[in-house]
Amino acid sequence: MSSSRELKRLKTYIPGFDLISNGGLPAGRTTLVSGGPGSAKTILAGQFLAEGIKHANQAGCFVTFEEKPDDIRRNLSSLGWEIAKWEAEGKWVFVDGSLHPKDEPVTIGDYDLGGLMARIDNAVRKTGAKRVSLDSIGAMLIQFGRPTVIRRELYRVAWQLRDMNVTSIITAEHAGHAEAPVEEYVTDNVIILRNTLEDEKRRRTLEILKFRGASHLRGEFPFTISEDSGIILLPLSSIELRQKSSDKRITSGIAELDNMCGGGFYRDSVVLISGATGTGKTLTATGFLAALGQDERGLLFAFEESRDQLYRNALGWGVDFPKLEGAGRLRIVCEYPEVAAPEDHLLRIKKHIEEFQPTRVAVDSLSALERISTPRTFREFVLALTSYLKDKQIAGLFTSTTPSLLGGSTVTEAHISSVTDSIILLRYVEAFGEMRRGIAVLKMRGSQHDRSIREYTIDSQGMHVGEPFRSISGILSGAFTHSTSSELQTLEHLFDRTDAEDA
Amino acid sequence: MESAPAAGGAPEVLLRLFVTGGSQRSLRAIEAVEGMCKEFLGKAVRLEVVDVSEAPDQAEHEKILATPTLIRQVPSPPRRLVGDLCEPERVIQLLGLKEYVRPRRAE
Repeated sequence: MSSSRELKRLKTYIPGFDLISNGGLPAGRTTLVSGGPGSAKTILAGQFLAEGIKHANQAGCFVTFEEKPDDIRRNLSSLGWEIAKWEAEGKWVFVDGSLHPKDEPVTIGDYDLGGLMARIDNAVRKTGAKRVSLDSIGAMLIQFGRPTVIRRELYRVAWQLRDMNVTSIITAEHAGHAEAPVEEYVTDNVIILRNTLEDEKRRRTLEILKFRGASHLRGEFPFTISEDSGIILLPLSSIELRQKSSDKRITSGIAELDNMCGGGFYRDSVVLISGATGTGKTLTATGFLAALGQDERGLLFAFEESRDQLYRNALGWGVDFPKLEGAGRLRIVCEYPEVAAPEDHLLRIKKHIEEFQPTRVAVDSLSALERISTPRTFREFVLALTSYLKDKQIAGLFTSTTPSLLGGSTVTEAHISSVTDSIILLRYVEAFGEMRRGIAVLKMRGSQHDRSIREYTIDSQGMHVGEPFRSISGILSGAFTHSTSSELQTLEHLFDRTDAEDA
Repeated sequence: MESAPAAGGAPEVLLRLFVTGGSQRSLRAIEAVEGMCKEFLGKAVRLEVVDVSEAPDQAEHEKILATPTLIRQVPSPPRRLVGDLCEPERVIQLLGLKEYVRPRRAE
């Protein structure tokens, strides 16, 4: 094993795949794609060719054993691939290996797949195809019913494809939980597709089991099937947080909060606002979007409130959302979290960001999305969204709802606090029979910040941050203790300066 | 129409044997099928051997996957057999060629 030379790669252009495979499929080799029923094997086989045609002008040959070319043409064209047109242009060619049940041959004695190979060779030569997909081995096994022969032949097919200098994919059925099927031992490169239920949620993943002589990322990577472009991998855990780290500050929309943060949020930072219901999270998001600078655009993803509610709330704080939208400076997207899986929400969010090119993005709230996710998919979602925003140098503000009114933290925070740059807590504070509200900057990456917990109030102008709570401790945990001897005295001098608006 | 007697030079039975070049399996099949024709079948049966590596378009047209594949193309509907076809009696039976078998000479 002295040869450490990395194999040449063929970029697939399947979104995300080239990232997790460190550059694409091993060029000139065969990769087995193994998966259970409904795991999108045929889509992957088709997309491998379609992306090659679209991005690299590489012709492709689709060998089908299961479905008729007509069915594949129709099914895959719903993903936006113009297969019939590509066929007319000589960029896509079918080799039809599907057999009508009545044509099924009777076998007497030994045979090989010479006919198939001659046809593939012919098709590849005619079109100059660089990519070949065979879908699927299982259907061929059923046709011929002699697994040992087919496996021997499969091995030869892989070698002959290599001689043709094409990069190929062969799909195979995989029972799922059982050990790897024999096919996985006869090819050097194996990809597993999974489609599982996890906590009652559908989860599709792709895993590169092995690439002989070529590096790749390990583990399962979730993917989604977009209606207009097919498989999109979300290589979430692999995205490096490339921090170009802007030191430019922007206003949060609340001058006092800017002060607490040492001069505002960083332009490319992601801030988490955590608080119980009614503490002003939506208000903070509203203020953040209303404070757009000259050339800025804001995008709000609202998962909890309707557009009308948002308009009404904002107007109550003196912010005219419809006017901002009319001026093309704001876009509001209201969606029920339940309508889609987190992966799909991520795609939609990205799509809106690509279209609208905002400089600020607010998500209200992440907790709503958490409801529809498993902890793992949720974490991956937040990671992916955060790194995407950072990559685009967009300022992000996420809100998170704490389940308890006093103190407490959320699962959301546990999962994402390490990812976000800043965390701001909004908390109810019980002070001598009154409910007050306190704000604290828990974390501010790369900057000094105010470490006190300050009282704030909300009125028709928005949020006002006042003086620090001096004599109450235990605010963050919700177990308050008062450290003065005389309650009356405490009440009077609770704040260095009592806010006039605090009625 | 299928049962109509052959007119002109058209054979009553047309067999096409698809093979791959000079592979052992293919050579065995050619020998077996030619031997079968010679030994059992009369002049009404014509055999054509097609090398798929030389005539891939024909293989494409017939959707050949495995070689050797023997197709009885006339009379229709076609029937297919796959393998090295070393059992002539079974081949004759499966392709429905019994009525074309020459009466055997008594020893």
